[in-house]
Amino acid sequence: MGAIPLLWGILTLLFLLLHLAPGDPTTAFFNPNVSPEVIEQMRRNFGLDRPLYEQYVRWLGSFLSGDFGYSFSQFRPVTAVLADALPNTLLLGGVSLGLIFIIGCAVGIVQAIRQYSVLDHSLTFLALFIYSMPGFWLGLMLILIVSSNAVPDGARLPISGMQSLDYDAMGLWGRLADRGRHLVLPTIALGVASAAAVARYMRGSMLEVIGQDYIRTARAKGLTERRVVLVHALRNAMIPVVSLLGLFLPILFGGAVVIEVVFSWPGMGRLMHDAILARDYPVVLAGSFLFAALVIAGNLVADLLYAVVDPRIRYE
Amino acid sequence: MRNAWAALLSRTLCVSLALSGWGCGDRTESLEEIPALPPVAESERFGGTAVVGGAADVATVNPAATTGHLAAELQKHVLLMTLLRHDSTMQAEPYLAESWELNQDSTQVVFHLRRDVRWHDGVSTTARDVAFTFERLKEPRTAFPNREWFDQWEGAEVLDPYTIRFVLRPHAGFLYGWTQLPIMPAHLLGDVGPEELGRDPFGTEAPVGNGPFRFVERLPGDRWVFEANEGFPNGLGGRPYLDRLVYKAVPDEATLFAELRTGSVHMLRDLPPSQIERIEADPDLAVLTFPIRSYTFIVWNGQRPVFRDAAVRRALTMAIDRPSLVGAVRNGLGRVANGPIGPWHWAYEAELAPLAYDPEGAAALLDSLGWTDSDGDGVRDRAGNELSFELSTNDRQVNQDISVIVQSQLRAIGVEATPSTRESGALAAALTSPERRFDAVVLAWDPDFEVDDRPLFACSHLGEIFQFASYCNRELDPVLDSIPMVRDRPTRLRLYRKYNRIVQGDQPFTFLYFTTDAVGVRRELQGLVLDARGEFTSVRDWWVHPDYRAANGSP
Amino acid sequence: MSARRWPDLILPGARLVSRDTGRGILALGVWVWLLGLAVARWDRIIATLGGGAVDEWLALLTLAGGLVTAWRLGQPRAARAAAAPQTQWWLAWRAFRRHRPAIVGLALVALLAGTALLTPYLAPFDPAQQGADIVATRFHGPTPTHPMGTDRFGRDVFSRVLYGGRISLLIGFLAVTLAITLGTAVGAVAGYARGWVDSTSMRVVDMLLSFPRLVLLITVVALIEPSILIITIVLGLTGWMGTSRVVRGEVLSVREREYVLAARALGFARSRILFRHILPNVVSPIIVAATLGIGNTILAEAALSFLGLGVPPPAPSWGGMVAAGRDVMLDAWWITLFPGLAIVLTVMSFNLIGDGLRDALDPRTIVGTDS
Repeated sequence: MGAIPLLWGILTLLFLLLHLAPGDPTTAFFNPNVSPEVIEQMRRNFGLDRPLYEQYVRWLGSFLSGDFGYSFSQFRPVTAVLADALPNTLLLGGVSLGLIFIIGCAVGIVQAIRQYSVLDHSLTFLALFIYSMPGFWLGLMLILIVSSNAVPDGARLPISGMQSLDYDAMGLWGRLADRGRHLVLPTIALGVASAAAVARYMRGSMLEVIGQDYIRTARAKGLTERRVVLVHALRNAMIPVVSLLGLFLPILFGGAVVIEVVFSWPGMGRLMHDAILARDYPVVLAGSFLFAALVIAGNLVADLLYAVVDPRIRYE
Repeated sequence: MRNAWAALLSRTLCVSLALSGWGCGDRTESLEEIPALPPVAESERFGGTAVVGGAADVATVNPAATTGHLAAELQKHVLLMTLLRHDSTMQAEPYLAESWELNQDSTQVVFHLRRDVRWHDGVSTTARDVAFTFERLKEPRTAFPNREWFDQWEGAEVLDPYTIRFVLRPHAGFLYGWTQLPIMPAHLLGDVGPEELGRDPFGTEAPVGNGPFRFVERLPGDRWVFEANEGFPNGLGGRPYLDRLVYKAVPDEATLFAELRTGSVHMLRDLPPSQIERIEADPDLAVLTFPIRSYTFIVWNGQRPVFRDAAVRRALTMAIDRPSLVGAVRNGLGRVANGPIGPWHWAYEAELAPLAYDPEGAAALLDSLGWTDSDGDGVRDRAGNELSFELSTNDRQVNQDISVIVQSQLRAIGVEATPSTRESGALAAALTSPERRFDAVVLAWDPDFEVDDRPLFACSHLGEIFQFASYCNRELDPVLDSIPMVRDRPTRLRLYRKYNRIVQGDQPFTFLYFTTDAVGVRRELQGLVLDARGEFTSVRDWWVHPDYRAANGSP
Repeated sequence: MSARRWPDLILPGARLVSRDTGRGILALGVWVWLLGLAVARWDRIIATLGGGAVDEWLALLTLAGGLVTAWRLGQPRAARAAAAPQTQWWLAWRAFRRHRPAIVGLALVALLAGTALLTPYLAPFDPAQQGADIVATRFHGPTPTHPMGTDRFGRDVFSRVLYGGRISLLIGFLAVTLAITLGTAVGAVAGYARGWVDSTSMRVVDMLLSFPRLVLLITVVALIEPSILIITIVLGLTGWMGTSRVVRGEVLSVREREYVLAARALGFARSRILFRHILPNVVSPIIVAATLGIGNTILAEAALSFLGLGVPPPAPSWGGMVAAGRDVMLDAWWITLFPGLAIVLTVMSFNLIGDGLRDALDPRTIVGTDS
């Protein structure tokens, strides 16, 4: 239960940052046609005229009772705003996470089996190259490639948003395919660097495991190499890799901000980006809360998974 | 039958050539001729869906909550109605009110409402709704953004369900507010407290209007869908030609363009200047341009000793190559500004030439004022002070681009402007603070239809938040004070001209350019009228050519 | 070993190419390059000598220093000084040298740093200089005059990439220095003091790590006016947590070693034990974290600038340049492509070194993801 003071601490920090910085949500009305008195009244309606400690206490109180308040810039309850954006980010992040681990592990295993081969070396280099790439730039390059004339119109992947205009008219399979096509580029841009990191870990971990006695025993028993690697070695090599899951969540969510902006993906990252710029305090605070809560939940899941793959760990 | 294309082409101001092209020229003639579509009988115009696409979503259509352009247009022209509306010469004409009377000493106005306007839920629109909207607007707790429209108005009295009387203090352009204020339904919002009015679900989830289109659905961040209001009064043209009107928000430029090209979007509003060439290259598309109210300027902080001298400000203006600036940052979509009154305004003075671009003249002027580069460091100085300052902008790309260009051009005459980007909120705070914590700022905004610039330049407003320039010219004050009071246009025109000339001499702002707006349109969308009133002014008369209706895949 | 002969004097390294290929090519390449640069930019060098800005003097010093180093590197072994003594660092260097990618990384970083310092002479144009006629000179593709084309103001992209590198590297180095100092301090104190100090500070570390760094960065930077200094400080303040964790772990283990226990038994002051006995033994993971941290910091800075919250214009920054080219990307791809490649190259060089260092200093540790 150490998570709650953590969350409280970070949200308090953000609250102070947001409120102490110059400017406020009424900046959007900055214009000589809007009189200062009206702006003053807007601030009063937002509750921004109160002393800071009072705003803080009120905010904390409503937050604890599950009321995230109203979005200043969207004129809707924050819960509704977040409910629109969260599933989209979970979809993007979930698919990316899956791909990160599947591709990363597969590449790592191949490298470990073919240690010091040309393939190993080139994959190591490739992984390093990709790992050093800014996600937003990779995203732009993907858009550039997809938009080039060399790509036939039919094969062009969508570069923005999460559904086509005629999505509503599609059948179930059509919708799934459409959503899948929209996912391709953002997923790659978001996940590929982390996949490279997973591959590096997996390679190291696999090499360590392969060198151990029980693997040699398994080989000596005459098991096929495939069985040795995929059944005996993999499970043990996975243990340290699973712990990466908790490490990647903050990276993924952070990356989602940039990637969602690049690909116009209507998720949490873009929402937060816009909300910060619009000084939409309630959305920023609730969104941050959600991010941190997701990361903490992700860490719990990682711990549980750890227990699944590592039989030595048992939770009471 | 009026040919909308021809009418629009004549409005085209200035569209520049390709990226590597020659800059801004007046392209009225060279804009491609759109092949005329086969003529269609009036009865054939009904039906179809028009999709308008743009980068920004509309957060709410509640008049009490927003000043956004697009939101205001949807309120005034699509969903709701105003008592009066502007005709193309910006004169008030009847709309929800079919007539009005002003008493002898201009202190009372009586509006007679149409009797055939109903809210989309079937309830009649009456004087009660007008009184309700007015009262909510005047109520300070509502924080109605444009309350100033009605500063001179007080007391509404409902004489009968379709007649309402107001008391006002006499002033020019007194009808203006009524051309802008959408009337809201009292029977639905009457119980909502003033503080809650702005965030009532009325604006985001369940708008009920009385305009030519009724609300169907909204997907936040994605689209607004409206359908024809069958009950729209015949006296105002009856139901719109279109069956459906969709506004679609697509933040990505490239996607938006692709959708215009494939026909899933018919009109692309707020066209990024860089997209013009692509659209013109497509035979089915056209770029239509029209002047809007927005102008872009640099404000000089008159509290800084350097900028206190009007001659210095003039020299700075002369050193900035504004024509090439318009070419560079707007791809030619704009006109060099000669003052605060833009081409959209009836009093625009096309003959008044802006201060000419003349770097040698500017240098000579600064020399004569004693600003010379005495220490040989490339920056002019006088009495130990360098002619160097910070040129701030907010984080909008176009403003940053301007600051970078201005920096480069001022450097050529030995003036050092250091561009700095500030977060919008911080910049607003710096501008409005009594200490005016800035040197110079690139800004853009829209003046109101009724130009009243006292808050910007009047001595009587020194120290108030919008007098950033801390500028005072006793000669100007009476002019600015009279403009809102004089009703006949010839007299006002003289006043505006005087205003232009004084400001041009003093340059409290360097007026950079008036913005020309552009939309990309598919040829099958007809009946458009585009001007400073907005893109949706004629939305009731829009129609989609029947030959294209099947192809656009409308639901 | 062979003695010095005349070719070594004017073409150092030329004779080494056949035997000690890497060293020979490096020495010869750097020598020829710098000499060529000195000749080609002779006018600017003269101008510097006649009174130039600080960065021009730095460039001149780099030029001279680079020439001397290349010359000495190119001399035959016998002509050089005797081998260094077998210290701990020398051993680590030997291990590091065996890691070829790391050596490549080191060479690249040296090259990048040299380029950054030499930029006033290397850049063909002033990075802020716009075309005389903006509309006519902008959006030109790569040509011999503008090897990376021109941007929306007719500015030379190549020169801007060079100048942008200086800013990115500077921010990277300074921010990481700050982060490492902070992280080491917190980690060392936590690990040494243990108890509630440890649990509290690690709580704070957990808290900050559980929050996406970029979101935190955007929030902070969006709320205050961005400047190079602010960006550096903010990046430093949000990048120390990984280091502090690693250092704490090391300190926890080192503090129980015999010599530390002995020092404590002798009654040495705590600070003395911490600085003299413990910290020197946890330097390796700190160096690794610093090297990998620079890459991450440069990436974070680029992302911020890309979102328009980083280094303010007209100062060129790689992330900002990518963002500025975005809306014309389909017509003028070079504006977006080259700064991005520069980021990849730089970050990769640091990561190469970091990997090599990690293997050389301690083959067991697997750390390094701290953003």
